[in-house]
Amino acid sequence: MLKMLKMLNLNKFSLFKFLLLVAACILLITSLTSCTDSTEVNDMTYVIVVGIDKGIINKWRLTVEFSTMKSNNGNSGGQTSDGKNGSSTGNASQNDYTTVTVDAPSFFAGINIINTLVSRKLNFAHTKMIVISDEVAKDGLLGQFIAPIIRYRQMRRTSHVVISKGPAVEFVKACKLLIGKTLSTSIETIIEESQRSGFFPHVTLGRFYNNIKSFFY
Amino acid sequence: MISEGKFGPQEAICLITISILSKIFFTSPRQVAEIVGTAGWYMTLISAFIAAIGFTFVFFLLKKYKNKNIIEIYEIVYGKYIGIIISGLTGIFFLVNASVNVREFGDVLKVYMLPITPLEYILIIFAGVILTLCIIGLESIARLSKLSSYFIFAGIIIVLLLSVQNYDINHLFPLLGYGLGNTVLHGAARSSVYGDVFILAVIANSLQGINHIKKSGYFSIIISGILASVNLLAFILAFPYSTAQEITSPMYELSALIDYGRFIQRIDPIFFFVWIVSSFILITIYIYSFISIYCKMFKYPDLKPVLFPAIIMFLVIALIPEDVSTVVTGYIQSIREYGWIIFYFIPFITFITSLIFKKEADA
Amino acid sequence: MSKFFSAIKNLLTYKESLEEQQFELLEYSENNEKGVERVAEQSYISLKLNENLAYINHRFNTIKSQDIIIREFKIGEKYTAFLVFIDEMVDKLTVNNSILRPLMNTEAFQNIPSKEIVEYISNNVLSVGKISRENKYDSIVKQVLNGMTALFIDNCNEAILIGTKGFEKRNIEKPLTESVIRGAQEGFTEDLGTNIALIRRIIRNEDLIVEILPVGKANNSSCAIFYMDGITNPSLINEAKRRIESIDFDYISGSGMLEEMINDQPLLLFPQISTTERPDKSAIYLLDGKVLFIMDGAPFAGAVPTNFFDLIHSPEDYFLRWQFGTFLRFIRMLGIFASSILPGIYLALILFHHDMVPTDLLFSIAQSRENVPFPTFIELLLMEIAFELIREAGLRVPGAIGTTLGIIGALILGQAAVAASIVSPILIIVVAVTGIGSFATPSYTLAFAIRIARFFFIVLGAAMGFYGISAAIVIILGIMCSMKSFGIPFFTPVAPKTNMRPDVIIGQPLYKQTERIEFTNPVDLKSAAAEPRGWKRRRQKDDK
Repeated sequence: MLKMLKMLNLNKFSLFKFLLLVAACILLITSLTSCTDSTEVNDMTYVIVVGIDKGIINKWRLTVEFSTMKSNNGNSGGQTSDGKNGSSTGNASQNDYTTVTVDAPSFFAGINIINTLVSRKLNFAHTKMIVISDEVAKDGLLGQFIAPIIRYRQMRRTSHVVISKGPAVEFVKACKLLIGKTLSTSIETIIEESQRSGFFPHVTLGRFYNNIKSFFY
Repeated sequence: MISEGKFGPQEAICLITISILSKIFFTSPRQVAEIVGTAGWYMTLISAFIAAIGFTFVFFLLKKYKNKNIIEIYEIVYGKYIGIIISGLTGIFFLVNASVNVREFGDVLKVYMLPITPLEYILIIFAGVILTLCIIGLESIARLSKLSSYFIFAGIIIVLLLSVQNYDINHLFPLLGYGLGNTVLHGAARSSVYGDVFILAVIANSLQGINHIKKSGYFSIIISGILASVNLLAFILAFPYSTAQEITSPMYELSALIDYGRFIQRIDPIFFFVWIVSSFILITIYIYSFISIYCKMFKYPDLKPVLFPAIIMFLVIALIPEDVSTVVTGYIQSIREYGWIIFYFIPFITFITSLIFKKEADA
Repeated sequence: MSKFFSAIKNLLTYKESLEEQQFELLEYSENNEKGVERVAEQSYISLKLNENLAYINHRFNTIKSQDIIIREFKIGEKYTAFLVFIDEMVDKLTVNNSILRPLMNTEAFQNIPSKEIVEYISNNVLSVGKISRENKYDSIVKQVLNGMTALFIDNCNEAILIGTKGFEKRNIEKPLTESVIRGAQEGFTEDLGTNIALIRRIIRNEDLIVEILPVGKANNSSCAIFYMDGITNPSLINEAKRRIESIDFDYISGSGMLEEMINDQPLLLFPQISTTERPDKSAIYLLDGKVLFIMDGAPFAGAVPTNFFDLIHSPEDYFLRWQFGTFLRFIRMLGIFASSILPGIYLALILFHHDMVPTDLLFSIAQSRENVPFPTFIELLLMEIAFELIREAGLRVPGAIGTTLGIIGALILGQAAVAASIVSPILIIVVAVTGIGSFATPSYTLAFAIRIARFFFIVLGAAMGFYGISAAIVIILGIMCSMKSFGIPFFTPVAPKTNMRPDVIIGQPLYKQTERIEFTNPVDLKSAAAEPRGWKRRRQKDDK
C-alpha cells in the first residue's frame, strides 16, 4: 500500500501530511466511541428511597421509590396518576412517584431485576434515604447488606440510614409527597428536622459503616 | 544537546511540589493505612526527612561539578560504559514509574468516573496531552505548573477545610499505629515518594545556578511534606484505619462526604479538575525526564524524534498489569518501597566514588 | 402581444450564432502587453523639460490614468515648468493660491539668473509650509502618489516637492469596538497624519519618537512606529523595525495585516499583539515601554510586546477608582471563563456527572428533555452554530435592526425553538450566557480566539466528561504558556515571575503604581516618586 501511495508521486512532505490526516480521522472517529459512558439524563431514573427487608421467596426484599417524570414543565399541566402508589393528595405535583418491590438474592441482582421490569435504568446517585427494617437489624444481617453497597460507585456515603419499625415496604410506601413539589426536598427536610427535635438519630451511611466495622482484627 | 530553556526557582518549586503531591490523590493513602495504620501522617514526615538527606547527596554532587546535569556527572565519575548503564537504569525507572502511575490514575478514573469506557481511550487521550506538552518544551511545562499551582493548592486546601465536619479525633488513636519500628522502617522505604526532587538534577542546566537548585529542592520537599502530612491526617481523621483500607481513593471519598445543607453537597466532580491536572503534570514530567535522560545519554540534539516511540512504549507498559489490585498492591507498592535505590542510593554511591577516586570536573 | 411572441421566438428557435463569445480569462501571454513603447528607465531628472515630461507621462501612464494632472505653465512668463499632482488628493486652494499664483507673478522674477531659479522659488516665492527638493524619480513619484505636488522647471536638475495633502477623510469619531463610559471618546481614523496628531496631543513629550517606514510593495503604504526614547528598550525597537522593514509583500493596509506578518507564531490561535482603537490606551502602552505601530488604512494600532493580562485590561480601570476597576476585572474574567468553558462543563455535567447536579434541577432538566428528539451534544452544537450565524448576520444587517438582531434575536429564536420542543430551555440560557461572556472580553482578537477554542472544549467535554475538559484545559493552557510575543512569554507577570506591579487582577490605587512594569525590560523603572501625592508629603513634613 505504501508503494501505491508512492506511485502517486507524492513528495515526502505531503505523504506525511496525508498519513497524519488519516491518523487524525481515526482518532477523532474512535474517540467519540468512548462516550459509551455518556448517558442522557432521560435514559435514567433516579431512586430516592431504598428499603430492605428480609425476603420471603429469596434472601432480601428490595423496595425502591423513584419519580415517574409524568408531567412536563407546566406546558400541559395535567395531573396523571399512574403506577402502583403514585398519586399525591393536594395540588398538582411535578412528578409522580412509584415504588417497586422485588425479592432477590442480593442487592445487585435485585437491581438487575428491576431494570428489566422498568423501562429505564436505575441510578442511585440521588438516593436520600436507606430504610432497613428492624427484623434485618435484629438478626444481625446489616453487615451483609451494607458491605456491597458501600463499595458501589453510585451510592454515596452521605445518604441517611433509617431503621424502621415493621417492614420497610410499608415505610417506603408511606413516603408520600405531602407538601411541596418534589419528594427529595421533603425527605431532606424531614431528616434535617431530626437534628432539632431529636426524635430519631441522624446517621449517614458513611458514619454508620465506620461504626459497624470493628477496629481490632 | 537538547535546549531546555531557563526558568526560575518558583516555577521549579511548583513543578516538583505538584508532582509529589499528585501521588496522594489516588491510591497511596489507602496503602499507607494498610501498612502503618494510623501513623500515616508522621510516616510521611519521616519520608520527607530521609528524602532531604538523600537530596543532600545529589546537591553535593551538583555542587562539585558545576553546571552539569546528573547524566554527565555519572559519565564523568563512572566512565563511559558504566555511566550509560546507570543512566539507562534511571531513565527506564522513570518510564516504568510513569506507566504504572498512569495505570493507577486510569484505574481510579474508571472506578469513580468513567466505568464503562475502555482503559485504552483514557490512556490515549493522556498520551495525546503528554505529546503536546513535551513538544512544547520544558520551560512551558514549568510555566504551566506555576500557573495551575494556584488552583491546585486552592483546591486541596478547600477540600481539607470543607471536610471539617467529618473529622473525629478518636480515629487518630492508637497514635503509634502498628509500632514505631514498623513506621520508621516503612517511612524510610517510602521516601521515594519525594524522589521527584531528583528530577531537578536531571534538568539542572535549566535552573540558573546552584543556589536555585538548593532552594527549589528543599522548599519543595518541605512544602509537599507538610501538605502530604496534612492530607493524610485528614484522611485518618475522617475514616478510621479499618475503613480507610477499603476505599480506592480516599481523597475522592473525602470530598464526596462534604455535605452542608441542601446546596453544598456532592461537589466532588469539581475537584476532578485539580487531581487530573496535577497528575497530567506529574506524568508529563516523568516522561520528559526519561526522554531528557535518553537524549543526554547519547547526546542527541533534539528530542522530538524520540518522543513518539517513547509514548508508545509508555502506553504499552501501562497496559501490562491485569487489574487494579495488582497495580495497587504489586507495582505501585514495589516502586514506592524500592525507588529509593535509584533516587538516593545511586547518587550517594556516586558521591562516595567521586570522593574516593578524586574525579575532577572536566576542564 | 407581439413582443411576447417575439420573446418566446428568440428564446426557443434557432438563431445563427453571433460573433460575441463568452469572456474567458486565459493565462497571461506576451501578446497582451501594454502598447506603450518602453521608454528608457531613468532615475535622475534630466535638464531638459521635454524629457522629464515624456518620462513623467510614461511613468504615470497618463494615457490610461486620467486623474493625474500635468499642468504646464510659465514661471514669471520666462521659464517653462510643469506641475504634477493627483487631482483629488491635493488641496486645491493651496495649489491655486500658494503655488500657481505666486509663480505666475511676473514682477517677482525680474532679475533672477536661471541657475538659481530653484533656490529662489523655494526661499522666496512659494508660500507653502512643507517643501523639499529631489532629483530622483522614484521618490518624486512616490511623493506625488502621497498627495504632494512636484514642480519641474526647465534647465534645472532638481524638482521641488510641495506639501499639499488634502484628500477627504473621515472625521474623528467614537471608537467602534472599545467604548468606555468614563473616558475619552475619540478613536483613530484611517489617515496616518490624524492618528499621529491624536497621540501627540496626549503625550506632549519631545522624547516621543515617530518613525515612518514604507510598507507594502505595490500599495506603498506607510507605517508609523512610536516609542518613548529613554523608556523603551532599544533592542525591542530594533527588532520591531527590523521585522517591519523586511516585509516584502504586495498589499498591506491596516495594522491587522501587518500584525499577521510580524507576529511570532502565526499558526497559534491566540493573538500576540494587542490592538487598540483608542489613543489613550495607546498612550498607556507607550509609557509602559512598548512599541506602538499604526498604519495607513485602518484605525487600529498595535502594541508589542503583549501578555495575556494586557488583553484583559481595559482603560476604564484606570479612569475609575481602583475598587470599581477590580470589580470590573472580576466580571470580565468571569465572562471569559463563561464564554470558553461553560458549554463544555454543561455537557460534561449533563452527560457524565449526574450526581453533581442538584436533585430538583436534575428532575426538571429530565422532564424538559422528554420531548426533545436530539441528544444533548447535537442540541448544543445546533444552538451554538445558530448563535454564531446570528452574530455574523447581525454585522451586515443595516441600521438599527443590526444591533437588535444580536442577542435579542438569538434569545427569541431560542424561545421559539424551546416552544417547538427542539431544544431544552436550560440550553438557551447556557448559550446566551456564553455569548454575553464573549462580548464582555475587552480585546476583540482574544474574544475571537476564545470563541473558537470553545468548540474544542465542547467536543472533548462530550467525549470524556470532566476528564476531557481537564485535558483540553491543559493543552490550551500549555500552548498559551509556550507563546512568546517578541521575546516575552505570554503569561509574564505570573508564570515567569517578575517584579510585577501588582496590577494584574486586583487593581491598585493610582498613587501606588509608582514603578513601571518590568517585563518589557525598560530602561528606566521608576516612574514616579515614592509618594506621588505631593499634598500628602508636605503635610507630613509640616507635622514634624
